[in-house]
Amino acid sequence: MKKHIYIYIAFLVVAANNINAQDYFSFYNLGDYVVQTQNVSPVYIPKNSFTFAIPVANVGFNLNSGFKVNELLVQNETTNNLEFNLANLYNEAEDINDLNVDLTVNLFYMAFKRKRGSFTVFANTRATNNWRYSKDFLGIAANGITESFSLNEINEYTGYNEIGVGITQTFFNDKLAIAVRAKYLNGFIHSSTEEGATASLEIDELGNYILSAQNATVNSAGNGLYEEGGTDDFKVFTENTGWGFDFGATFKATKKLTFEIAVNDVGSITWKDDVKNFNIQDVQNEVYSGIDLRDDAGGLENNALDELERIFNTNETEEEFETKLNMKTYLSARYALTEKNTFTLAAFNTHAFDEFKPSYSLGYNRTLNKTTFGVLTSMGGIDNEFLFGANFAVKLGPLQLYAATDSLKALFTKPEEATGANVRVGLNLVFGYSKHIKAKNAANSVQ
Amino acid sequence: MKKTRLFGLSAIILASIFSSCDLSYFDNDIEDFTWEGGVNLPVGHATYTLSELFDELEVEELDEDTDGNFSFTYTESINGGDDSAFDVSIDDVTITSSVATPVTASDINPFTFPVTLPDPLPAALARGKSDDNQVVYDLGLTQELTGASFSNGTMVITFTSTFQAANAVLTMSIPSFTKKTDDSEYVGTVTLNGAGSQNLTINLNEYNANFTHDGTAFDATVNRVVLNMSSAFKFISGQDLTATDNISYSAVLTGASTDVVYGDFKQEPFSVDNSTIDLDFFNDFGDGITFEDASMTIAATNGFGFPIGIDVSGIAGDKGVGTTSTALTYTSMDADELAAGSDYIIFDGITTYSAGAAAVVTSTTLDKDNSNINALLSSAPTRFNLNVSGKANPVLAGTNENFYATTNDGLSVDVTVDVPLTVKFTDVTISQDDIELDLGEDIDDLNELALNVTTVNNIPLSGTINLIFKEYGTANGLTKSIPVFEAAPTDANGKSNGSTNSTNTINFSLSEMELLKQATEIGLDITFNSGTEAVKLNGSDTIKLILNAVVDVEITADDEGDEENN
Repeated sequence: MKKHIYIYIAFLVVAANNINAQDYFSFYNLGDYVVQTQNVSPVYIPKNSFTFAIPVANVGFNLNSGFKVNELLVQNETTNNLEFNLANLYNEAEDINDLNVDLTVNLFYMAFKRKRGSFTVFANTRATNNWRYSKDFLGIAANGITESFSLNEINEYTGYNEIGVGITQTFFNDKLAIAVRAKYLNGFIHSSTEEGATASLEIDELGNYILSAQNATVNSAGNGLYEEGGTDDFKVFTENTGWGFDFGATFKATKKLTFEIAVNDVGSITWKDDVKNFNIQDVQNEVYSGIDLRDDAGGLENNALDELERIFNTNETEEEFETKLNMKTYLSARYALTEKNTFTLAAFNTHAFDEFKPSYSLGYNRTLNKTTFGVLTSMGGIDNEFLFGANFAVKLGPLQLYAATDSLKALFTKPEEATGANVRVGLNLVFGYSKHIKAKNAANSVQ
Repeated sequence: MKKTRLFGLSAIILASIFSSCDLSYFDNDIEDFTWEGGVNLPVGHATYTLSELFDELEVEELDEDTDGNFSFTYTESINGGDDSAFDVSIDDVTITSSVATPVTASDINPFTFPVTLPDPLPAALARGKSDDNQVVYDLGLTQELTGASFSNGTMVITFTSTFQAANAVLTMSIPSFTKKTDDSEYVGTVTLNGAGSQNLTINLNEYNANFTHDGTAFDATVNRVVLNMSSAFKFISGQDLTATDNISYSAVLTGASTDVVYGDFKQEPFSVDNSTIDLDFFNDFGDGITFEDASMTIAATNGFGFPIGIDVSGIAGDKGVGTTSTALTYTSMDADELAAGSDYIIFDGITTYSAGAAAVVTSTTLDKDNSNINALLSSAPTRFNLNVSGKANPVLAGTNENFYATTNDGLSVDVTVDVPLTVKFTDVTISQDDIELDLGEDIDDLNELALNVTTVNNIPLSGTINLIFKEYGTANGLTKSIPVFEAAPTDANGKSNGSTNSTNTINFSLSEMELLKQATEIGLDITFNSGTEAVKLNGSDTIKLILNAVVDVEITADDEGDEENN
């Protein structure tokens, strides 16, 4: 059992340190074949009349590890046993490292094809964790406090449910399609650092700590995240509510060339339930030189705590706060070389840290009537790593199976050598293809 | 056909995915998670001023002047002892004398004695007769007094006449007694009509005495009282006159006391109470300290009317009964003191008596230029024995004009040993109060422990520090030494004008860490040393110890589990 726990921890650490891409290019390229792509591309013009997603059978997760598991869980060459090696992690780390976790579980999805577009009803559970941490932070974890460090950590961890409807409407003889999705948001857990939070420790030549901290506040809400022992009752719905919107548009410039823009997760959540704000008042170059050893009144240990409390004036409040969703943007150009062969050039940017570090992909899909499969390459983003991915959506009677990944390498590599994974898989019940295929064929024959 | 290809492709992809899920790597045993890291942790600091260091020694005689100069001062007051030798008592005495009849046989011729005087009287007696009598009486005093001022006592002079045939007028003059009010000598007269007696009473408190009259003149002798009696006879016819008729007197001096006596006390020994100055300084500092600028100030308040010489070689330092004693030596630059003898200092006396005259203060400082005080202190005595002897009029002279007032301020001598801390220290150790310690389980997970000890030294002394680990007040066998820390820089006067940082690392072995766990206090011994040059210590000079722990920690998850299981 302990072994399994260790393996689990290893994967968690790997994930926690290296997942920083949430682009889902391969999934994006499945487009109108799969209704769940509406989560990344709001414009949805289905190829069948009705789709019903099998509840909880559609999952998307993004793992993109910057190093291998076996670099953390190192095999001892003599005993062959595995040993945790945090120092190795530290050596592999960059000065600035990003952690972006994205998990989407589709709880419910129904899609109706309309004459000029679609109408969808959906419910998702989503969790994101955006963490930018410094090499100094990992140095502390690996080596302890042996030298000066400066922490500029940014972390935002949010879990929420979204329930919404989406509508896609085409215009100008289907040349232009505009989609909007409105989502009621209900957050169940959140934790984030204040913007600009920094903390530093300098060890001077006398061994004193010189301490500074600015904007050192952690906001949390929901489900007793910081309560000892956690909360007994996990609340699916809370008082933490908000609204979110996805916007999308496609434009068929020519019969073969289509442009698309998608702006997802525009909105915010106001956190009111189980709110806690842990604040450390700003300090600048406060010196902690231990305690006055001659003053043992009250006990040296208590004196040390008192001295630290003097430097770090902390307080805990329960003031509600608002957080914005992690907005994501896609821009793409899709070129249908032939009716069944489509190339897609796409760009993606996540606005997790209000930065512009886009990633790009070039994909090819074989676009059949009911199925599609394809490959793509992508690069850029925070890691700027060149990836090779693939996707497919097949129909087995009324059952649609789809899968997409941006990194086949991650899937084909042994787990201990994997550097991450990016997968979207799911099962849908799809109905009503024939009518629309016939209509499409008829339209093509007319042309 | 198309469906077959799609299924085939999907199957290949899925198979590839699942084939990649080779978990054999994780079939290997996984070592318990062990975190090995380190922490450089400021443990604490302790700052001691030199004043505090010496306070810990309970050296209370530490002074600091406005310039921060630091010194030890010991003061002991001693008093003049028995001054009775100068408090000359004038014992009760009776001075007698008599005057025979001035009448000769020829004066009554043709009669013979005894005779009843005829009327008319014989021509030789008709004019009357007179006679004088002088007594110069040596009072036999213990000192050579020249004078006194009486405060009490009487002299009763009883005159007795056996003359039946004469009335006698007797006049007693005493030049030795002069009236305080007008400085006139005492003169008293009685008249005896026939045989009988009469008295004169002199209240001595009304008189001063001058004991230098030798019957002829003053300033000719000492301790003498002169009584001059003159007699005038007027004879009476019809009364019997014998050849043995006489006039006699007795002057009875009773209960004489003085406010002051004057005289020459010669070189009368003068006793001074013995005393001791405890130099607890050395009990705490040991003998590794050499002084450069010590001094001893002997300030005397002399309320006597004569100078007193003190032989300071009676001041000596030792370490207790039976130990080697080092005597103080003093070479004066004063001619009188040199004349008085080796090691003598002289306390001037009051030159002119007056009631309530202020005592004379004489202060003499013995320092490195005129004494061996530095060497004496550097012999690290634990006490000074003040067994001084004195004498009046230490300088031999022809005649000394001294006085002794019954009411006097006596002699008090303040001996002040002033020891500016301009010193050389050699392994002088100062122990400090224990510092509380409670590490216990806090260091269970430590692989290695080292203490970086930084001394920020503002004291112009180098030194070493011993950390003595104790368990409930008793050393537990673990002592760690901090190698030499450097002395602060000094100015031209040897005074600190900066600070010096020294950092040393103390490593603890595993066995020592076990002792460390058990320790409840740390004792601190600071041993100071100076260089070849003496330095001047200032009470505000500080030494700061900064302790910084450098620990290597190993935490094994299994340990935590075991603890939980237990």
